[in-house]
Amino acid sequence: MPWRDVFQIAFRSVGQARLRFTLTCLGVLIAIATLVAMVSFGAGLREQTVGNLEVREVFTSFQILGSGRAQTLRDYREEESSETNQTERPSLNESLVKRVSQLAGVVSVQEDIRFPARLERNGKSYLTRIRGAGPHVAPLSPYSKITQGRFLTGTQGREIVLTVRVARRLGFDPPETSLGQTIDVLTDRLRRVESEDELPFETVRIPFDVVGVLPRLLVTQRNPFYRGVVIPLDEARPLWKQSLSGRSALTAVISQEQGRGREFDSVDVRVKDLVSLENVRKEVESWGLTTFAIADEMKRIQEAFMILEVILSVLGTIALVVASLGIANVLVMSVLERRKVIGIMKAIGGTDADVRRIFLVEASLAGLLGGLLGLLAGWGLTRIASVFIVRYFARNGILEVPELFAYPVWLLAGAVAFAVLFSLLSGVLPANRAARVDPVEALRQG
Amino acid sequence: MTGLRAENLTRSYTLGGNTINALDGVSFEVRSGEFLGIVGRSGSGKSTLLNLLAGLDRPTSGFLWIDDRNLGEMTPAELAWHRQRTVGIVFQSFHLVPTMTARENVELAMAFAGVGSGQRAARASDLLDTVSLADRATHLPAELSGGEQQRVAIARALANSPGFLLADEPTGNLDSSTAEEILGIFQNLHAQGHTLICVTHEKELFSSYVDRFIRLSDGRLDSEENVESASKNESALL
Repeated sequence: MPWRDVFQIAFRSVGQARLRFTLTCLGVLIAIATLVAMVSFGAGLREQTVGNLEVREVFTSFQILGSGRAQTLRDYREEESSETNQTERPSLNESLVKRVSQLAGVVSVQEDIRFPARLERNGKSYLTRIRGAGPHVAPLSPYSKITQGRFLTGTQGREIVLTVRVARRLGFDPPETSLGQTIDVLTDRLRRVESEDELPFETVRIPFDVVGVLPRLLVTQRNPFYRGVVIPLDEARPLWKQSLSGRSALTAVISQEQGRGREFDSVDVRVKDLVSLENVRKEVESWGLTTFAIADEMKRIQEAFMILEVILSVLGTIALVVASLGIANVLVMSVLERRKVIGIMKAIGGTDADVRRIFLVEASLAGLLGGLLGLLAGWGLTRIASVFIVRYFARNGILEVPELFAYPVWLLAGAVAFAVLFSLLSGVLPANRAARVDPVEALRQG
Repeated sequence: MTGLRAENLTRSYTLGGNTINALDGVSFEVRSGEFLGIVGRSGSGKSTLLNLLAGLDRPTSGFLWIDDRNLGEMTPAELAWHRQRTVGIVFQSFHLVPTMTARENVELAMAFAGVGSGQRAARASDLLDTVSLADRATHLPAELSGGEQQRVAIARALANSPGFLLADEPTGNLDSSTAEEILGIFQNLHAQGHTLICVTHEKELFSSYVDRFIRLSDGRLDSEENVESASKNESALL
């Protein structure tokens, strides 16, 4: 029997039992909607996290770590220290920056300068970490997402970019009212003392004009390297050198004791391509330095998301299995009810294969229709969820919420294919039962 | 040979540990173009024999040749082909698909035989016209009388131009005048050269139309009886 006729008979059969078919489709619809909602959430998270990292060109950049951060990384990776002789390792200073800049394939080398400082304004103060940066980081998150004011336009000048959180702590509410205002940056520095009663440091107060406020971002949009309050690099450098607080001070003391002078916490290196990344890293590591690239962590991140997606898919699949059992049940009932018609079909020349195909097509129709409608329902569900999520975050100060759900083509096509496949599988048993119907028995009972 | 030959045909069933021979060593022949009546009391094995001839069932032993093909050796697919092309079946209870119109029921048999939709429609119209149901083509079986349903069933049985028309008590559910109408159609088909095999318990009614009767009794061939031409003609005139 031609497929066209098989489909016609199957369509007619489902048309005769509309309510039953509708309920069967509804089961598939709910299952697929659940599956789509769950997997699109997993895919959305992956896209937000991994996708953003990819945009940030992390694959062509790495960091050379100072001894403190290198040790932290080794502790994190549970590695044994390879830097047995610290004095052999070159210091992370201007000369190292120059040396790395001269390596083949290197696009830019930028020291990472961060130091703790107190911000003050009208008697309100807030202790934070300030970073020195230049316009070169403007295209990177979170600086690229600045919506209030602007980012730094040069490496000099008494300009500062706050975060929403810091601006509020300093009494600017709403945060954009800080734009154009002046705040004081207070940091400590060493000084000579005349007597033992005096402390060996003093506080320096420098006014900065607020030029921009960074928005609050979701975790998935944050940059592991860049965040917090920013001032121009050339303004930050002398403050960092004098700063006594935090780890940099400790590093300074150790470095000075080892005769290497003050070290940067880390140095950011950008290279032109992946091959250069490998070559430059190898060269730098051969000098006894520790490097870190996000690319190293990508595999772990990908694995984590894969596990998440598998778990979400399994949950959705369970729903689909339940729906498939429903389809199988409905078809088995249908075979029992239509025994006489099956007998007639066989008596007038229908083969076992013809009968089997008719029932399999009926099952597939339930899967196809349920799958397509489920896709729509899943999409609608995630859109509604998205609206609620945006409102929730807005109430919590996060105004820029990325799209948390993604609908890759593989999900859309896969969900429908999955529904049809499961429906087909659930139709195999009833279809085989239908094919095995003895026409003589069926017609006698009819 | 063309025609049908049954040799020592046996069909047994096992019920509750007992073997029952519904047919027991039946042998007979049907020539091409012949109209054979199969008579006997209820449970004599008439319908079992017809099911074997139709390829709906398989003999337990013995041989059954139709147009030189042994049905006992056919695969299920070949038996289906046999039901599509070699035989057409008419049942006592009509057995039309209740959700299909008269035309669709006729076309269904052709669809299973792989006939294209255009050709099917034309052939179905011709056949319904032949059984005088052209104006009821779009009616569902429930909207037709018993006689009309049986005529649709005959049109369906003839859809793929089979060499044999098999009928199991075709007039059993019909009143006498409608039964005569159906037999009139059979007579025309016989006149056109079709081979007809009818199971019936209405020997008197059929004796005017068939060439020959075989009588089954307890699954065995009890007797064969040729019908006199004069008697046939006489009855036909009445």
